[in-house]
Amino acid sequence: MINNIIFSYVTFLYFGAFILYLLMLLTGRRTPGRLATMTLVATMIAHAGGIVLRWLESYKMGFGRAPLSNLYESLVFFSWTVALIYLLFERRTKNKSLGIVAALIAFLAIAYASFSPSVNDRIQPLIPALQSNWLIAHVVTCFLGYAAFSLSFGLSIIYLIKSKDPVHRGPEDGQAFRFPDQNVIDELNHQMVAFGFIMLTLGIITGSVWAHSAWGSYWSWDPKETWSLITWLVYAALLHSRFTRGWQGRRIALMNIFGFACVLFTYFGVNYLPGLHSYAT
Amino acid sequence: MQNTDKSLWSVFSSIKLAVILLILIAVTSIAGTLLPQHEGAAEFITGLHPAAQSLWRFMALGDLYHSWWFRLLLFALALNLMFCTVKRLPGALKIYKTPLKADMQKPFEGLPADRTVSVACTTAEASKKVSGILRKRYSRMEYKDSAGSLFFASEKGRLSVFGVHMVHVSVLLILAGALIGSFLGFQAYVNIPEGKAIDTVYLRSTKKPLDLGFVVQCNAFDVEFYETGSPKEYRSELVFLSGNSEPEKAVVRVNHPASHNGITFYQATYGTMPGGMVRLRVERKDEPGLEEIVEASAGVKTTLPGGGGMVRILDIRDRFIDKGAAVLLSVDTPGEKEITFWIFENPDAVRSRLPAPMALSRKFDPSAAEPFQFQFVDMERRYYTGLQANKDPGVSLVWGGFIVMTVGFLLAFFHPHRRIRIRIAPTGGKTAISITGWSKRNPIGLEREVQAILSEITRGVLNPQKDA
Repeated sequence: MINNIIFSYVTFLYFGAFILYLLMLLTGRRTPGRLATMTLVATMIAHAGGIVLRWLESYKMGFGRAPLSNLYESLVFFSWTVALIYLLFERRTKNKSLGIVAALIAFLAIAYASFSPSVNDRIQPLIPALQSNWLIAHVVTCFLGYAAFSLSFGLSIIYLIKSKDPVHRGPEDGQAFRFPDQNVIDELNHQMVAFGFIMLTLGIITGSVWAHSAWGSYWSWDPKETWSLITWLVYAALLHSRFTRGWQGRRIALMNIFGFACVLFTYFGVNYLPGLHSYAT
Repeated sequence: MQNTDKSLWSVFSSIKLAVILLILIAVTSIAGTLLPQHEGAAEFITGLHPAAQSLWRFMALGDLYHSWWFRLLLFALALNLMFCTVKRLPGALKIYKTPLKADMQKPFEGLPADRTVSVACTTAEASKKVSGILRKRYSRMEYKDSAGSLFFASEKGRLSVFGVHMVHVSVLLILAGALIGSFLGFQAYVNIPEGKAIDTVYLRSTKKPLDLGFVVQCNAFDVEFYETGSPKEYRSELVFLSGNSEPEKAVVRVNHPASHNGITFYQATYGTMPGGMVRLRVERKDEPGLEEIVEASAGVKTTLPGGGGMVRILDIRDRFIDKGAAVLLSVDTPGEKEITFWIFENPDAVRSRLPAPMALSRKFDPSAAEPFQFQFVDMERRYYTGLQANKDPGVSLVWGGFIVMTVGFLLAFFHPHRRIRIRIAPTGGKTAISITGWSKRNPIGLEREVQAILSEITRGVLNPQKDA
């Protein structure tokens, strides 16, 4: 399939972007940073093209459906959303220092999809439970949320690195190639978490409305549902703890990392628990 | 007394309590995904120490999400949300109602130098430009001329002060909807064979029957498959019959339920069951070569080949120890006692599982009724549709909660409350334009906006030919 071939090239390109962002941070030169952004933009566009092709191919096979229905397709889409949200973030903040994390996560997700023998990359028709208009809304909102939480995880790591080295000691060539100040990271991270939280909320809401028509109940305490709620509660606690004394900065960064662990478990770990969401494996 | 009231109030309306409750609910929810629940729990606790067992029962750990203490946590969260709303809503209302005032010197005190630009045009020209920019960007603009200086104030997103409160109220709505659903609703299931009708469903929780008050008939059930062999569609054609009103037809598919009298039917599962007819290969030991296929129906006596015997089917099991069908036959030969025995769809599979009874008991001997020898060929199988039947009067409250929550989030995060103030003051032949902003949240976004307005102002008044 052409889409699979595109995705394998895209995998290497994400790795290339990661190396370029790394070079940028190590050398502090402008050129690798620019090249990194250009590579990432081109890769993200090619990646989108691959997803569209896969969609079209499913129509040629006679059962057109959005490419968002199994682990392979979700990983491919997740990788793309990470690249997309990061690029929008870079454009808005004019800072490239988070690029290394974004490119790495995008690379790891699509590499796992492309190269793991346990992940089936064939286009298969939708089973009856997945034939719903809610599929696209549910998967897109959930993965936008996951992507934002991944980038927020990256920002938290940067925050913690920065707190070990509060006096700036990095490259001097231009603002864009350095880590921002801690309070700026903290604020950006808050916005990233807020965006992810809203998307996760919408993901849970759409999933819940869908479950009501597919399974007859908007909430069944299925492990995936429960873990998405756990993730939601952790980030809700995080968003509130900003307003309580003694819970700023470092503690929030640590809580953020815990929140991301919950995201990972909701995405992957739940497959080891029995439940209704088994098509995502 | 007054004091304790006050401290209780402040504890229950505190954000700290909210954080603690959210984390407690998260942690206990994790436990619920790790401990065996429902059916699995009964087996699990038999291996525990008696003391642990009674603790397990007291804490209702086998149905953790419906246990008294988990509900208590949710109730505490609801109280916390209510107290928070009561405590903070008046402040939000006050902000919402306070009129925007233009002439305020205070926000401009101690302003960084880069927030003021000096331009070589009159205050009137600058004022025209500034009001143009503000009107374009903001829905509200106030203006005041005070002691030679001109003051502008603009704002947007005033409604967003209610965003957080809407989200909090929405959680209460959802919890209330869930509570109503759990008290006044039910979840039940029923299997209906094709062509048959039922008027009773079975509760999921207690397995007890529940009278629907009307009849559901399944006219047909269909499964469609893709070329790959995976299922494409399950479809039940139902008719609802209640009292003397018109029969109501409905098609139920996965993701497409149908409702009648407030009860909603969902396609949950399907299966096959014996239709009643079994085809048997019958040989006679006394007449080698005589072999016939006999179609026997449940409860009806069928004549065996060569005469001198009748067979009757007493029982059909679709899945006997998961090794295919089992049929209980009764053979009546003149002058002999009636003999009953089982024959199997896969006798070899049953033999390997139950070697001793198969070898010893006459009950499992297909040639028990001399001189006949029986073999299972196939049988009629009929589909049954497995429906989930639910009633949930709380669901519309939950949907309402979802809508309020979505709107609240969008208001709070994507439409933040922002104020921009601009002062134009003549200073020694030139005109000084100062700008300051205020935002409840997102200081970085505010900073970006202030910079954008500032650069628009300098571009505008430094290139006056554009306005001409």
